[in-house]
Amino acid sequence: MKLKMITAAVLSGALLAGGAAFAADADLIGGADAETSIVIEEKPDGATTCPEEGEAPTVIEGAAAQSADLIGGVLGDEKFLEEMKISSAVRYVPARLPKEKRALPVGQLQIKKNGTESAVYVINCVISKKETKADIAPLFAEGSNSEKDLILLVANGVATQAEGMLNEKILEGIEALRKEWKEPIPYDIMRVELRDIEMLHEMEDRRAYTAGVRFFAYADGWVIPMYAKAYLYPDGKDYRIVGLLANDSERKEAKEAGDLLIAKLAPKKK
Amino acid sequence: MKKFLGAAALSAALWLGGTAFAADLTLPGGVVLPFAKDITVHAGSDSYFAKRINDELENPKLSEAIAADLVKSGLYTEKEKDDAKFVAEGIMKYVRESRVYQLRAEADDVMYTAYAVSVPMSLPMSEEDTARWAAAVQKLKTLANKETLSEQLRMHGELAESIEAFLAASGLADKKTGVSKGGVAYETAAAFTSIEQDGGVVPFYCYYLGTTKDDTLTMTVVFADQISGKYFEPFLKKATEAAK
Repeated sequence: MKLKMITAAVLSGALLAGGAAFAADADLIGGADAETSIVIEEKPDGATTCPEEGEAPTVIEGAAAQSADLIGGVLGDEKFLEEMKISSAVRYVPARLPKEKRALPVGQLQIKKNGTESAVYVINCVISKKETKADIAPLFAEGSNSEKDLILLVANGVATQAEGMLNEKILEGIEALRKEWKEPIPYDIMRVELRDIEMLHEMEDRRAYTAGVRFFAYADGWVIPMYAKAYLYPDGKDYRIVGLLANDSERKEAKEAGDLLIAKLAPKKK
Repeated sequence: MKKFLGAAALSAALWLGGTAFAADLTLPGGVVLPFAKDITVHAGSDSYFAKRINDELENPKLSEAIAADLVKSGLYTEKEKDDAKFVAEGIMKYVRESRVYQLRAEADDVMYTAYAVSVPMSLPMSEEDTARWAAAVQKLKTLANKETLSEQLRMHGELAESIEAFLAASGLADKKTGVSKGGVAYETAAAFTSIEQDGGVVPFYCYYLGTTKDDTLTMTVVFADQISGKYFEPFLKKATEAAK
């Protein structure tokens, strides 16, 4: 049961955060030799976000190291998602390192529609079926099964509580920074708001799941309204998560282009 | 845990009740752009960290360091030290006096946002100062072709060139000059354009507004993603015509 809960939490968090960044009660950590693996480790509560005074690493260093581990562990291979025309209005273009031709596992959906142009950022993640402890298989089993229902139930349960959990973590972070910087940073200087959560659900004609959310960050009086959406589907020996990140104003375009992209990538339902 | 919950409740209360957003954008030169009620304006100077940043910007050592960097990088020679100091102090003055804002609107189940940067300049400038600035601009323009310059400065030059190129390409076609109902002389230009590099694009909308009031020229540039730009453009034009 615990494994299922963790799986659901990981799925929910990863999908909600565009497949890239957040798992509610578990940390995703990739080892140096595990290019395509997710290993789930439970850590003592607050160990990385609330270090004792004088203890290395600092809050920011800890968060940066954790993010680097996460990205290094789950980013997809380079051959996946090459440049392609998806429709007359949508094109996928992978990012490339300067002076190198190889595509990186991140890129853009470039959309030209109604006289405007939008760029939606895409991240390609891989979960190795062999190495992951997250039990995703029941999601793709034929017909309905209780394990699938449980995973969806828990994942979507976590999603509904994600805003509260994130804001609690932010408050803990502010508290830690107040101590570290010896600065009376206001507690209300930052918060997030999750709007219109699109619960994790199976797509109609593809063997794929999707979830999305409008993610608003309020920081020091500024608002950064974003839209994140992610897709999960089986791909040979692996599972893939394709995450999208766009401005909230580009939400409609991002959702349409993302669905078109997944229609090209994910297997059709039998 | 309780203290955090208390803080969260307090934050929410402060957020809802203690934060006032203006519907008008007051530029640093004193010109006011009146917006419709459904657009809110956040002034960066109201942010908690703004005061800390301003304190840092007031430090005279900052312009001295910039002047030294300009000489060290090869942009100015040792003999041109005074010119480098003039440019560095000028840059810091404009940075200190400039203001940043965020425009927001919620409509059609979407939150649109745009950012505005506004720089005031006192006019007229002396002939000597005008010549020095013209020379500085010329130097910046040639940066991209100077092999001897540091990589960082060359990048600035390349960026300046590409910005110039896209401004020329887009034509900033929607140019207009006039006097607002409130008596403010203005010049505007707008473009839906994008910067391209290595296949990646950054599409954006920009609206330039130059206003003159009491011998102060205020240059304001509004940036937004193109969909937000399409939403804000009619409001920006209307506010310009009603500037006071």
